[in-house]
Formats: sequence, structure tokens, C-alpha cells
Amino acid sequence: MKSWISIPFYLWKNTLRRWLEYPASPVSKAFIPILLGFLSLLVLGLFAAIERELSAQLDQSQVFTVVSSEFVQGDSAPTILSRTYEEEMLWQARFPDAFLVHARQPLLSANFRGKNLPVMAMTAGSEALAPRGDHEQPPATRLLTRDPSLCQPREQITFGNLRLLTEVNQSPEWMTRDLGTDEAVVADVTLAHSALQKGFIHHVVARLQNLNELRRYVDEMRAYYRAENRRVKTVSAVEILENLERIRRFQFMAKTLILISCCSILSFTLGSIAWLEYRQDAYLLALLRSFGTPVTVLWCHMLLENLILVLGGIMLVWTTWASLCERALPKLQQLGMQAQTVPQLGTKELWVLLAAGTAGVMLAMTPVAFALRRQPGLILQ
Amino acid sequence: MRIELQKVHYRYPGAETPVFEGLDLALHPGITLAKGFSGCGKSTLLRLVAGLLKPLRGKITTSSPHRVGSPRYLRDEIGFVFQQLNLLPLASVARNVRLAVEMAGGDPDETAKLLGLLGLSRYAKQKPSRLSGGQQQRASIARALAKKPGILLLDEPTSGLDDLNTCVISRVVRETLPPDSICLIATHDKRLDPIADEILDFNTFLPVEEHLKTLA
Repeated sequence: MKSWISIPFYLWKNTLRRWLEYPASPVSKAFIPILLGFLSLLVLGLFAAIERELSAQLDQSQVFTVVSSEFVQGDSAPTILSRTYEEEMLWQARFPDAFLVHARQPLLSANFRGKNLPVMAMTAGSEALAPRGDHEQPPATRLLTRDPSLCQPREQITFGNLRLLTEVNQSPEWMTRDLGTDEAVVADVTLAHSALQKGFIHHVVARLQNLNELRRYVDEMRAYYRAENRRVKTVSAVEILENLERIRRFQFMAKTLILISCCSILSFTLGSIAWLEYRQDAYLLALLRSFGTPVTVLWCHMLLENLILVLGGIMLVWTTWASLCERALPKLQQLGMQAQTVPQLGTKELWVLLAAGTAGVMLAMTPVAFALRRQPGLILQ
Repeated sequence: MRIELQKVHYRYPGAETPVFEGLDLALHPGITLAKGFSGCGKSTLLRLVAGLLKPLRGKITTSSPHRVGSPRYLRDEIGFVFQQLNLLPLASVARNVRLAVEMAGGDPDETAKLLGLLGLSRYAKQKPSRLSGGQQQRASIARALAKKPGILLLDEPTSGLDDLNTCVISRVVRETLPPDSICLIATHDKRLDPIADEILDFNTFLPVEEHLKTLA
């Protein structure tokens, strides 16, 4: 056997003997990372579950959509109505990439087959009025319904004292999802002008490109209405998005903290054990050095020995994590805890733990590295 | 092989008095005995020559291409027998000897030959713990000699051994030492005097009063 095999072979033999003689040492070396790994996975898993929950909420609430509604009544209605036309242009100019819908809903409803339908008055050129880009041609009213197949292609509605024959179209998404209205009549503002003068609800649906745009839009809009002294109800996902970002920041901090804590605990505990083991084997190691074994070979062997136990412990937790959680879930539920599913973790979390384990072992082996540099002549008798 | 110590100073960490202060010494091929009182520095000299201790000042030069104390130097040039606990406890006697030979890139057949010369053939497969003190010492010498070292360093190789063991060791060292090798033996055993080519009396390096002071 060549020396580069026989020396490591002997070192492993010595390690196995030590493990058999003092099983507490390898067991504790593996148990500490198992415990730390399990606790870390629990924390990371909870964060991942919270993030997933928030993401689901976002999916339901249209991530970058803001819906604002302003109820206007009385003498101020004509003035505010004219302001809404200016605002429509203002917001479109401020946010050219955003999808913006301004709908003014008069307090007077339209009637269709005995049903009262809300009327959405929109400026000429709105897509809801001319879904095929046919802005030049009348009709200036449309009946929008969730299921147009249930209606005739053209239906008659009454709006105040007007009898109108309207084209029937599919309700757009902004109406059904953002305003929560399945059926409505959209009309040109000129048709609904006199009804709007008496009072209306001004709906603005805005779909922005990203969180920054969304935040800017909400900030500017709130500041504008505050300055105008107007009360506008706003629904947006800003808070959820900010919570999600906060969770992600916390997650990053938690990962860093876990990395540092695992690393420190491992380095202190493994460092103490490794030091005791070094003291136990100091003579043997010095003897091997006197034969010409390089210090790096001895150090690498000790490092490898610890890495195998620590990373093995972490991998054991990683592979058994899901089944452990599945077994624990019914018991937690029996105890009245709201544990529904096993927290899913990505490989990123595994890498965090492996990195913490490796760094901890490396730190733990630092004192041994210094001790190994001691002159063998001071140890050997 | 040639070894030269020039103005070597050495003091153990924490010790007040130095072991050597400006030691000049040249070692030539053949067997040299280093004799003197206990604590006069015989073993320290052996460790310095092997590079297991580093001199605080001064220089140790050899004709070896490797730096004194480097792994290659220890593997290829040095055969060292310590006073005690020389053998790897988990390896058999033969494995102990073969390991040193393999590390030095020597001939593994030397193992059986040397174990035979030292009367250890029967114990080749035994673990060192099953051997007596004398047998362990002989096994250590077999390991040191098997790799045909340029420098053989024996630290009290016969202390506590009977005349028969001493005789065997003396004979084997004399007969198997390669011609250009240096053998330095730290001892105060007079039974080894006949095999010596040169005797270094360490009592001349350190006056008796100084020696008594170090003992006090």
C-alpha cells in the first residue's frame, strides 16, 4: 500500500477505534447538527409557509391593482365631476404604462328586464365602450354581462326616461373582479351627464407594473385627495406586498442568524470535542509527523472526520424532515395547534445549513490547526 | 551524509536555562555515541538533527537535498527511535515497519529481513501491545533501519534492556547501517561503546556545576 493510502487508512482506523471506545464523542458530534438542523428547518419552514400564505393572498387580490372609490353627492357633484375628467388625463400622464379605468356611477340605475343595473359612465375612447377599437361609431351604451349568451345580441334598457337599444358584451375583468359587479351598463358620459350632476361614485381601477410604481401611485393619489380634501376609499395590495417584503427581509435575516448561530454553536461544541480528541491523540499525531506525514494530511483527516459527522447529521434531518413533520402534524392538531401542511423547503435552505455546518467545523478545527504546528520534538519522549 | 551544527542555541519553552548556547558540531558517517548526564541535551541534539525541534539561533546543515525538519527530510533521511511509545498501536509489527518503508519509497522486502535479523519474525502479525519492552524496542529499530535512512537517531535504545537484547540491537545496527549513513545514539549505556566510531562526551559541553544547577 502506498503511503498516501496507508497513512489515511491508519488514521481512519484510529478514528474508528476512538469512536468505538468513546461513542459519546461521534454521537454528540452528529446529534448537535441534527438538533440544530431540525430547529433551523422548523424556523425556515415557518417563514416559507408565511410567505406562501401571503403569496396566495396576493394572487387573490390582484397584486399590483389599486381600486379607489369616491362617493360624491350634493352641490359639489358638478365641480368634482368636471375634476374627474382632468384627473383622468392627469393620472394617465403621470402613469403612462399603467392600465387605468375611470368609471363614474350615477346614483340612478338602468333597468333591464326588470332588474336595476348600475351604470358606468365613461369618457369616449374607453375600451369598455368600444371593445373592438370602434370609437367613431355609436352605440354609446353597452350592456356588459358575465354570460352574453343568455342575452340577445342587442337588448333594450331604460335609463331614466331614455329607452336605449344596447349591444351586449362580455363584462371586462376590471368590472367583475376589481369592482365586484357582474352586470352593468356602460354609457358615454354625455348620455349620463344630467344624472351624474346629481351625484355619483367615481371608481378608478389602476393596474401598475411593479411594487415601486404601485407604491408611488398610492402615495401620490392619497396625497392628491388629501390636498383636495376629498374622502376616497382605496383598496390595494400595498400592505400585503410590504408584508411580503418584510417577511422576505426577515427570512434573509433569519437565515443569516441561523447560519451564524449554527456556526457558533458548532464551532464551540465541536471545537471543545476536537480539542480533547487532539489532546488524546497528540502523541500519535506527533509520531506520524516524525515519520514525515505533513501537518495538512493530519488536519484534513480531522476536518473530514468532523465534516462527515456534521454534514451527515444535517443530511439526515433534511431527508427525514418531511416524514417527521407528517407524523407530528396529527399530534399537533390534537393539541389544538393550527398546523395544516408540512412546510415545504427549497434546496437553498439545505445549502444554508450545509454552509453553516462547514463553517462551524472549519472554525472548530482552527485551534487544532495551531496545535498541530507545535514542534513534535516537544511532545515525543 | 554530513551534518553540521553551527552556533546552535536551544532552550525549551518556559525553561530558564538553555540546553545549548552556540553549539558547533560536525557529524560524520558511522556510529556516534552522545554520552553524558541525564538532562545534558543528548535527546535534544537528536531532535534538533531530525528537525523535530527548531534551534532558536544558529544553523543545522546537512548534505540532504531536503530542508531539515521538512516532511520529505523526515520521510527520506531520518530513522528515529524514541525512548518509548514508538510504534503505532493499531498496526501490526510488520505493518509498522512496512509503513515507514513505504513512506520513504523503500523496498518492502526489507521488512521481513529486518524482523528476522532482530528475532521478531514470529511476532510480525502481532500488535505492539502484545510484545515485551525489549521486543517493542527491537521492532522500533527495525522500522527505523528498514527504510535505509541517511541519518539514524536512537534515543536510549537499550535503556532497561537485558544484555541479550542489547547485543542483538548493537549487532544489527552495526551490520545493517548503510555505509554513508550517520548513526547518532544518545545513551549512557557502556555496553554500546564497542560499536561506536566516535563518542561525544556531553559533559564537556556543560560543566558539572552548571549541570547540577539545571538539576536543582
